[in-house]
Amino acid sequence: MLMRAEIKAAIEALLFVSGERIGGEELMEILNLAEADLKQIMQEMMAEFDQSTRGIQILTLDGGYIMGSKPEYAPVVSRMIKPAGRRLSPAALETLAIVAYRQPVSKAEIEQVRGVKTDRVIATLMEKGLIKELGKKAVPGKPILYGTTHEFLQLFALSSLEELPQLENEEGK
Amino acid sequence: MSYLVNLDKFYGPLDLLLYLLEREEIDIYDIPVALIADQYIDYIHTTGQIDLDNIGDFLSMASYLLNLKSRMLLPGLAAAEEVETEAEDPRDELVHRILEYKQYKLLGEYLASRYNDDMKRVFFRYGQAEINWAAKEVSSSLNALLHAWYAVMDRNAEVGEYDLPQSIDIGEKMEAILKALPENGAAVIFQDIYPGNSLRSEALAYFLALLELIRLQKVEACQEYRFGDIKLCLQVAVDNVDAG
Repeated sequence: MLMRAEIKAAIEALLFVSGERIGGEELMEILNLAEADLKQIMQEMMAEFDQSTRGIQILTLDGGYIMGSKPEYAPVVSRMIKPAGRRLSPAALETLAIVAYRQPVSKAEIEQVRGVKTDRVIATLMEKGLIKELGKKAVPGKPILYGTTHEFLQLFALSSLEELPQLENEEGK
Repeated sequence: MSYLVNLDKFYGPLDLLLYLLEREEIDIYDIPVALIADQYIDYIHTTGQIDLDNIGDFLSMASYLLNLKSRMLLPGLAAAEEVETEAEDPRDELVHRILEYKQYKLLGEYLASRYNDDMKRVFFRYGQAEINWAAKEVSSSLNALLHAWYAVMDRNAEVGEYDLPQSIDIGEKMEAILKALPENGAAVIFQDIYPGNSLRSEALAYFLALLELIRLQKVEACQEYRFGDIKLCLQVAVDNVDAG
């Protein structure tokens, strides 16, 4: 059994090497930790990273964790990384918003809200890995149901879907 | 009315309706259907070009508005409304759809604000799905493909002594390319697909066939680095998307 400080160091090493999101279950398994312990340790770690003068923070992402730069250093980092060609059309953003709030949602339901054909937008979003197929709806024609991915949350710097603003007067669906 | 309006500016009939309502500062719960229907149809008239792919959705909204307009004119309904205030307003559905659309449009803008705000951005080691994009974006780079094609042509510099007239079918070449690509989506290098001993005209047919396949989104072309090999693979995920 590792000491607490060592566990934190181990998690730091894992997150650094991975560079991507590591799921909570995976960390629990690798480090042989109980869920409550992991959560508490991660809380402490995140606070420690935030409080000390360092360029990296740990973020929660869909029940997992990921390392990212602190927003304060965005101007510096963007001098190195040119944000090239990342543009989503308003049509794509609208569609993403609908998928995010309504998932699992079929193409027909998206088109009902938008009032236009959405095939191409969905193909683009699938290609960019922002939405994925969740399964098929149990109605005639078995339409594909779509949902958002980890990458979606990451792209918009959201830690989970709950962080999206509340819908106004959404009747229970 | 001679102002030219591009329907492309609107991301669908609901977007256009919303624009009209906002321009006229109309209370969304009390839409003057006749006025809005007329303005809406004027808009479609003044677009000049008609793009059949897009216009369908706009036209179906126009016919819906006209239907609504005529229903509003029916005296029976108007009378009934005065008696029981609870009577269903035929405009309810429209109001509901516009409000719903507006909400998602605003949410889309909210998402955009989160992601375009470079100054507060959090960067990740593997980018924000950006790496992925760059690799795919190349499929539209004609130059990279041309470059690869010239490389193939150089390899087959020895052209046959006589150019016998022969009929070359691009459709056939498209099938040949599709056949050469593994089902599982694994990548194959463009130069390898193309048989080394063909005539220039046949090589050209392969190239045209490839462009066509990319246009139809059946094949994907990626290039990992500048002047690197172009890899082709079957595009699996979007089989079911119609090419229009």
